[in-house]
Amino acid sequence: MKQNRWIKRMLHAGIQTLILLVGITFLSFLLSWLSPGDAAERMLKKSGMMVTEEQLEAKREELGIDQPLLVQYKNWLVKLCKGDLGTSYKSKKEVVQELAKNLPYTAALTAVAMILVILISLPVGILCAQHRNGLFDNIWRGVTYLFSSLPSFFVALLLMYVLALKLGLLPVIATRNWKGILMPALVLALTLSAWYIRQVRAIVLKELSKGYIDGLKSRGISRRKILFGHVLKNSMLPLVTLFGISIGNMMGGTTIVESIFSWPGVGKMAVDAINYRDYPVIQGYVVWMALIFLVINFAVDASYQFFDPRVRKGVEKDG
Amino acid sequence: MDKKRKSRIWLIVSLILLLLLFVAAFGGEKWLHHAPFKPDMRHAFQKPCLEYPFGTDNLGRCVFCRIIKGSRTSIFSALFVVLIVFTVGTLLGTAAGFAGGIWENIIMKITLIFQAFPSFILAVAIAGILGNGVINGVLSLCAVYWTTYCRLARSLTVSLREVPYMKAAKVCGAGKPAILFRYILPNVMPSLLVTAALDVGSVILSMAGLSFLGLGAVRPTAEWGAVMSEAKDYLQTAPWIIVFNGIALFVVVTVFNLLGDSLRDLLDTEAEM
Amino acid sequence: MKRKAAVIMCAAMIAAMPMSSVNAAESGKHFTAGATTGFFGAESLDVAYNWDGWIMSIYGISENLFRLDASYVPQPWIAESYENVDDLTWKFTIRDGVTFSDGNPVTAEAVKKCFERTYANNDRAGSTLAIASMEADGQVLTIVTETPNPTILNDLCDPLLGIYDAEKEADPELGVSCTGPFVATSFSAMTEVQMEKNENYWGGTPKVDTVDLKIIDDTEALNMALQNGEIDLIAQLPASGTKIFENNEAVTMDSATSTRANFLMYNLEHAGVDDVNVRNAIGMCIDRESFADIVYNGYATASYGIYPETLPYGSTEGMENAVTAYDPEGAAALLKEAGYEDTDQDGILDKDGEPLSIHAITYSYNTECLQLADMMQAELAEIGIDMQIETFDVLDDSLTNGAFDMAILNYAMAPTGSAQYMISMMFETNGSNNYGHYSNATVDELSEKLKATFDEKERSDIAKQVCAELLKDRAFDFVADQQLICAYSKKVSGFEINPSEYYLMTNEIDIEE
Repeated sequence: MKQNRWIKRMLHAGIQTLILLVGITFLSFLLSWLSPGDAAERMLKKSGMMVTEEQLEAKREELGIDQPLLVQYKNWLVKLCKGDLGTSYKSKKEVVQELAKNLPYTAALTAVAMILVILISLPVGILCAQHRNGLFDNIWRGVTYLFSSLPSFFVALLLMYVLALKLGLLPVIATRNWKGILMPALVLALTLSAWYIRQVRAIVLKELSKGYIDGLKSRGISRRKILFGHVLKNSMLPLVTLFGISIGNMMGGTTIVESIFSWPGVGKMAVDAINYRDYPVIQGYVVWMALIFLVINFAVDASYQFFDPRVRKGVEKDG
Repeated sequence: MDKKRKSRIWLIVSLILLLLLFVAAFGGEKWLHHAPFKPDMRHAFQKPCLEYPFGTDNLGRCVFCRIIKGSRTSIFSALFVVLIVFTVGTLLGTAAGFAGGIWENIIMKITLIFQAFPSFILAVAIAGILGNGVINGVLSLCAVYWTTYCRLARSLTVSLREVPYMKAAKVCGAGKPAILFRYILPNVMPSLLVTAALDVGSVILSMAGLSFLGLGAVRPTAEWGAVMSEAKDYLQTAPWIIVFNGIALFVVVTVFNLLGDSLRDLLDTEAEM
Repeated sequence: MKRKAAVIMCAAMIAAMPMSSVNAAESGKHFTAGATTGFFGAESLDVAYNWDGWIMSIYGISENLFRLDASYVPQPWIAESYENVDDLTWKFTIRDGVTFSDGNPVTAEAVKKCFERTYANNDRAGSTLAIASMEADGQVLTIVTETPNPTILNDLCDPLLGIYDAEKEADPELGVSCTGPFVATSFSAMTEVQMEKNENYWGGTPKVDTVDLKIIDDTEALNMALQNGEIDLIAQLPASGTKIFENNEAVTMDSATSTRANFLMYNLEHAGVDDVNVRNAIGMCIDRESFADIVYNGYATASYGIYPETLPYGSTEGMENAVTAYDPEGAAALLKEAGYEDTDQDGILDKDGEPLSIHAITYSYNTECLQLADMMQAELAEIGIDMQIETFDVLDDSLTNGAFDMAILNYAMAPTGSAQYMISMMFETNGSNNYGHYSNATVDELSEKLKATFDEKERSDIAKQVCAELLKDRAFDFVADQQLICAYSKKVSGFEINPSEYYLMTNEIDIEE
């Protein structure tokens, strides 16, 4: 009986996921379908040849872009089921390879940036909540306003100027090693931390205002113990969810930071692909995004039962 | 009570600041004594001085005049985006939450699909399809931001469905439109309004980001993001161009954030940020 | 527990990141150069693909039969010597002992095969050098041209005719095998190319072991990278950067008068700009001196002619020229005379009910072109011409489709030193880059004559006559001739700037460690 219900639930979840996957990929198909210009023309004319209409037709046929939208979509889905994402128009490499080449960079950037975010926002946010409306809190309120009110490319340039040029601490161009990753990660971390500090502060404050805290206080338990033993423990779940969503967003790549620092991640890849009308890459990228999204969504859903469902939006700080 | 009073003060302060911004954006042009677009090459790269309070840019145009000129584009395109997504999102969200069943399922699936794209890349893709221009930038940002309102409105509506007085209203025979407009909308509004106020700043920044990638405003619009992305070439030799534009952006975004924060504290809602 | 797992996962992700440049730096001398897409941006490493041969020559991967020296005179390179048998027949002796990077020897047969492939894959080849037939015998390559070709040596300097091993299928990533001092080890289009020295380079082992060429389109990041010592050289430094390095003691700035020009190309099939009076009026509204002095910080010269004055055929003396100075009042008067009036009082001039509105396109990454567009937009608005600017990363589509009234372009005018290059490519009715459909029978005729004239003096005269026609028609309006600027660290030695923009990396470049 119980097992049956479990299977039923899993089946339901699977179907829902499938619907989402189809919708997401279809939207991306629609977007490329609507975009002006045609990949065949772009590919042929760029080669330096004068092209005839017949050659264009032939190329369109070869690429399969002369077919109606739905047929193209069906063909693509069939291929996807076989694990084939197609070949990039631009690099002539398999899309899977392209993704595999760029993903580690985005993953590394995400990892370092998230570690920095946690290192910055957790202690600061908690301290701000503890010394609510004190000097510390007010100073940080100003700082967070500053970083959340500046475009990330401006923050990137300022950091470059100060940290690299004036202080000589970090390289300007992201060399593909530990030192190089710090600067782009720092830019991401600073703008994102500004948001997180306020989140941490709010969540901790909310926890502190709950009734059981007074109970604990009246039982003479030290503030330290209340903070670390109860408040933080209870605040962790919503925070972990938020971090999860942010990680998901960042794994989609951060266009501006990646392009300023010449960091070859998937965000830069996606924008380049959009500019080049490299449909297979765009679609491959979308599948990847959909996968991350579904995983994160699932994880968030799973953790909903533990806490207030209303706070649940992560941000992609990429303005 | 003290908290409420404090946020009321902040609200008034931010409203006054906002008013000043609007006056500057709308009426400021009358006081400008330099043309914001016409190059004056003999005066290129002037440091801030009495004649040019914020200096001049690479083509000898007054940076201050251009900031004033550009403020309208930056502020109003963002307000426009928020207005659209607020309206569309709220309507769809409340409708979904109110109707329930299959409609709710469909609408929420669509929001999920839109959300699966990293927001900025979705905007880039749509702006790429539509071509450059402020209007196209506005549309592509709308496609990104509406989901927040739809989801929030729906979840608030759903939570209202089971509230006793709603049941009472139903029992008393209130019609569906009456329930929607009399009970649901007024109840979901505060949270949505706060979210909207907080979103303006973020939309301004996203717009600047689009312009940075060359997808936003077209020339000669002095949109701040577009100006900054070009002025970055002179960060070392004429820093005043990018710095003053950055400050302008910062001030505006901060004022809107202040407004949103004080509204939230005052209305005591939990808006999505 | 969970936290530990997360830390391990992060560490694993970072470890998975390819550490390519670290490897490169491990052994020997390493040289890094940066430039924007315009100078370093190849889409492939196939000489025959689009303009990629040019970029590969800059990279120091591909080489030609001849090489231009600093005064645009072709010097033997892969070819050791040549013999002009008759008007149509040329015999080239290929240097002995030159090998492709894959080890195959460069023979006359290999060069023939290479040219055959290039001609089959790229239309520009035919308009660069029209070959009737080729014959290979050992190291001797005989080329018979379709018509007498006095500039064949210059033409052979065009990197599109770079020598590569056509016997082997091009590698999807690393392209074709060439003869230059460097060999690519990894290539990601429009981002970065990594190279190592060609151990068997015929001209002597290169002095640096590995080279990293980075494309950095953010010019401020590019400047800071050199200031910070992360790159050793900026090729084709954007003019805005010159102010930074003028007083920098650790950096040398070299400049050479190239033949690169900023110019306008009009689409003569579109109403408004098909009127020569409108084109002349637009020309009068451009403050060329300020553009050269301020936008280019003096690293450019205002142009009122066609070719740079430094070339023998560059002077416009005695030619009929409607535009000789910045004169917006004159422009307004000219338009009025030509019948343009603002009848509907909307601030835009019109004629026969058609408002004078111009759709201009330009490159999104060329800051100088963009600033020219900004200057013109404001100036033209003053005299009642509405100008809309649209920018593109890749202009080709809009140009070939004719989706423009005016294109603000930036081309090297005579990269091979020969006037014929641009005349065949852009000014002739059937030129491959004549996107504006300019057609002037006299120009076509002169072009044919120039193709068959061997005497230098006479050639210059013909080129000047072409210029006179072009000035009269103003289908192309040249605004400024810019200089090629390279900035490099004082640690770099053996670098020589070449005005043709064809060359950058050589075996002589060295770096102090």
